[in-house]
Amino acid sequence: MPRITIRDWPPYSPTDQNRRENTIVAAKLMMNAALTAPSIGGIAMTEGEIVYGEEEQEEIARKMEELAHEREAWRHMFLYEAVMARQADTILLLGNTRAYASPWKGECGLCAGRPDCSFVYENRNQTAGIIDNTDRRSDTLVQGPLCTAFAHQLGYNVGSALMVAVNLYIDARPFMSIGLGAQKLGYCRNSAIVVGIAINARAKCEPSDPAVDYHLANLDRAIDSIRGNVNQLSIRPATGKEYRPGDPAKKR
Amino acid sequence: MPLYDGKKLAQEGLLQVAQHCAQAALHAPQLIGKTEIKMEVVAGEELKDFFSMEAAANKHGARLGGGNYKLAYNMGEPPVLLLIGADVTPIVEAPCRVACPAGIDVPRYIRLIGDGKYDEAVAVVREKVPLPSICAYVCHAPCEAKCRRGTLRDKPIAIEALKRFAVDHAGKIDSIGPSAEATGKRVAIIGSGPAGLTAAYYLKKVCGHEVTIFEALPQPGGMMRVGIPAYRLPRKIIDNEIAAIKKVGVKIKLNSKQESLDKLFQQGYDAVFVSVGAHHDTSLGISGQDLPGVMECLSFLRDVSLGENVSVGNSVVVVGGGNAAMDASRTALRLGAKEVSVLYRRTRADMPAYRDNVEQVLREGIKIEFEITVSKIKSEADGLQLECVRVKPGSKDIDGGSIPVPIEGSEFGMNVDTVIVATGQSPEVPPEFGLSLSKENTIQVDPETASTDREGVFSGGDAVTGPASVIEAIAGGRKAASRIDLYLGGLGIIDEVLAPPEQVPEVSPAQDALSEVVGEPERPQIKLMSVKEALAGFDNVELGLDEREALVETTRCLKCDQVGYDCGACGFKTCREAVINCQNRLNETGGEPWGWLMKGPSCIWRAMELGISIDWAAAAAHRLNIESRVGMVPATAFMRMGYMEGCNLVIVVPIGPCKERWYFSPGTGREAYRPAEAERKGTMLQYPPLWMRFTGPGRDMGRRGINTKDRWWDPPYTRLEIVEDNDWGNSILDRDYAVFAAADEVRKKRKLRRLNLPKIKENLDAKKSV
Repeated sequence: MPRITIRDWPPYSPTDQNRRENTIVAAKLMMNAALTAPSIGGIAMTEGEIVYGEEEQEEIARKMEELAHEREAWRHMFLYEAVMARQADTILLLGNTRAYASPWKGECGLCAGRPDCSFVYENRNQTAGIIDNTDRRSDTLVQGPLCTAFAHQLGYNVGSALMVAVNLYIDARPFMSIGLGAQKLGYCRNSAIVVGIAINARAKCEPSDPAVDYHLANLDRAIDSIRGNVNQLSIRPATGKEYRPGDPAKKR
Repeated sequence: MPLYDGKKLAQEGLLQVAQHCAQAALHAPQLIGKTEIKMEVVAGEELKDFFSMEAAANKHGARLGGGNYKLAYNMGEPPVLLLIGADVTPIVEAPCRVACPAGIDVPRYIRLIGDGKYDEAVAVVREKVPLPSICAYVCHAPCEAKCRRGTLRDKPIAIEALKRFAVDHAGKIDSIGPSAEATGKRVAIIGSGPAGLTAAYYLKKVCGHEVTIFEALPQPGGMMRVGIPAYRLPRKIIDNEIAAIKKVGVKIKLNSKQESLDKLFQQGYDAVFVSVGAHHDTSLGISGQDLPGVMECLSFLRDVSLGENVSVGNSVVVVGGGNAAMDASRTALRLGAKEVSVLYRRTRADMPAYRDNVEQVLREGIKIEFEITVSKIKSEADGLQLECVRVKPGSKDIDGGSIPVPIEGSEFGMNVDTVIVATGQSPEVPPEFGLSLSKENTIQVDPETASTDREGVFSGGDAVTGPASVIEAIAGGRKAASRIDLYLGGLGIIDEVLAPPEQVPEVSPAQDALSEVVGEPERPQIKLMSVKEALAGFDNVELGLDEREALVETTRCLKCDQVGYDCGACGFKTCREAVINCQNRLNETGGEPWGWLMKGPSCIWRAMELGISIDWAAAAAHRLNIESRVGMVPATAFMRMGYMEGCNLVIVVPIGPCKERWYFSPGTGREAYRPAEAERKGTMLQYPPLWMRFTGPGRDMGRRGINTKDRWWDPPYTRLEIVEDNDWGNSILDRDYAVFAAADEVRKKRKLRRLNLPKIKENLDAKKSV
């Protein structure tokens, strides 16, 4: 039996829905721009996915929130940015498919090894120079070492996509965390490294200018709070706390 | 005749496009916000340096890329090159390290202290400062003022106390190592203060010059010996440090005041470093300043330090608010004065003395009176009488400080036995030196090169800056040593690697100590000797941290030198491992590029952030319908030539004619310049050598190559032949060296920091197959 979900107060109005769907057009154009970005050696190595939909975005956001508590250093970033993944109108994921198993071999020396890519090869299972990319084990967030030149290349792809967003006057911000969360869920599965771009067409671009305690006090939560107190038609004032307590992830 | 040459107009326009692109690069979004984008523009005749590099590379069959630049240049339409780069290594510039005038790697030695490796921590300090113990005792710790733990969270890490702990607990320091081969050049250094000793150490040990220090006083150490009292800097510490410097072969001639630089040159010295310090007291300029019982601060401190018999009586007044005044007042107490007061003409906030020093003065019972000046000193039967007047802040002087204005009717008198005048110091430079001096009597030097207006004469330390701190004098000595070496024909490289390669410890003593702490650790209070004990003699007042305190304190460090996400993408499990690897590798290669292209290792995310910026720059040109592209290989030539110092990944964004197919297409009149045509005519090597595509032990090919006699890119491809050839592997290394050597020529011409060619050759030769 298929999953049947009922929610008695759907979060999006038809207007929201229309706006969100428009951003998919932008995401598609951004993806094209990413593909035409300058490429090292003219090699094709970009992978992209557009994530759209409440459930799909919720899944990524929850994965990020899960990761947030694994390490102190990740907490702030993942908690704040999970909200942005949830609130984004669309998410564009861009990844590089070659960084894991076929380093550039350009003698660049950008990674930690000799300039012959040996660092990548020596840290992988490989036969005659063919790296085993079926090894899914990893005790780190990203399965390194990756080819740094190709990761740098992914920067060009992301940059081009963002430039299109600018030209279309659509708000977009790249996130390490959204990419990592999505990657853990199997998005861009051919890629060793993924960046998530949250695309928004709201009046206020919250990812660019998040409020303090953003994972708790954000616009959606504020609206939801009004809905929960519909008889009062106001947000309950927070008592007993200073006005802007700052980031709870930081100990005082 | 056109009103304005269109081609010229277009060329000038390219510079404006470059500005536009640079703006775009700076405004590009970032992923983790830890990449500082740096940019430089190369245009016009400056491109010729690149062409010389290209020629050197081409001789060895390599292609630096950017061949189009030369073609376009020859046509009178050179592109403008925007170099965009960043330091994308896992080592982030920590504010404490940036704040240190000598550039000591503070996070690294804090880490080593946390690992219980105190000797290695001291070796890290010694890599930048040849007087680590002195630095640990008297540094005013500008690093702590910038510590991010202090600026963002609670209190800064007790860096100074940790350094002192390491120095006190390190075993016998034998990390000095052998000296460089003798060059036959001779350097005379006037003054054995921190600047002179530092310059002497590097010039002798790292650069191999014969160094003689001429010291006017009977004991070496300069202001450290005769200006800083023993209760702040124990004499044993100075003796040990100077002994270590003498051990590397530096000669120190005491009681040798120099009056003429010409004589030194006549004695065969090739260069002179003047570091005479600021030993001259500024007088009060009032009536009675020459009376018996009125002492000059530095003379007073000097006499006490050199063991002279100095008597101060029961009551002492010190006039001044600097560190010298604080030192004099505390010294007077230790000489038996019952009552010591400090008179300062401004407020406490204006006092130039370091806060710790002032706090200790107050702790020892010395009274500091603010906003008071002395207008006259008179001799009385039972001592001296001071006529004082209270003042208030008046108009601002050039430095922004207020000029005190006397308050009418506030005059009062004081009876004391001794007055110590500590209102300032200045250098005393003999006029026979023939050096240009400033109004404050400091020696005028070129701030970049530390050279004076006399050929072969350099200067640094307090003699140039006026009275400053020990660490600033050490930094001045370092700069001068590098520049003197360049002047004498050396490379100007004084960097040393003294600490052994770092490793991540299996057991962390710091974490063990932290586990015993309840709650979050706080900055430790530095323990001090009781006042009674302190005043009984000249023993060091600060007792330092105990081991547990020091270990716990290291855990408070926020590790600003690490990216800190521990994502593992670079191949190391933690950012700490990556930083250690990077540091070890930088040490191993002398900081020079290792790979053919760039310097690694890199943080994947920082590299990606740089990519976004570069893409935006290139895209900005496209939006103006100007050709642009991104070039990685030519950027390496610019890095080696000394452009984009401090970056390990640089990309060239050429703006203007750079795309073969568009720019040189048939019908434009530029066909003859088309790279393919040029290659056919043998003027340009178009394709990269084939081995670039087939290298890597991952392919299990070892050092094999491909016979490039055939044009492999033409069909039939079956003519390709893979051959065993060790020679080509070695030839790549020769090619690398040729490129480095060509780049060094350019650096020499541009008077930039030279490449360490011997070290580079050593590294490259070590990789050769026999």
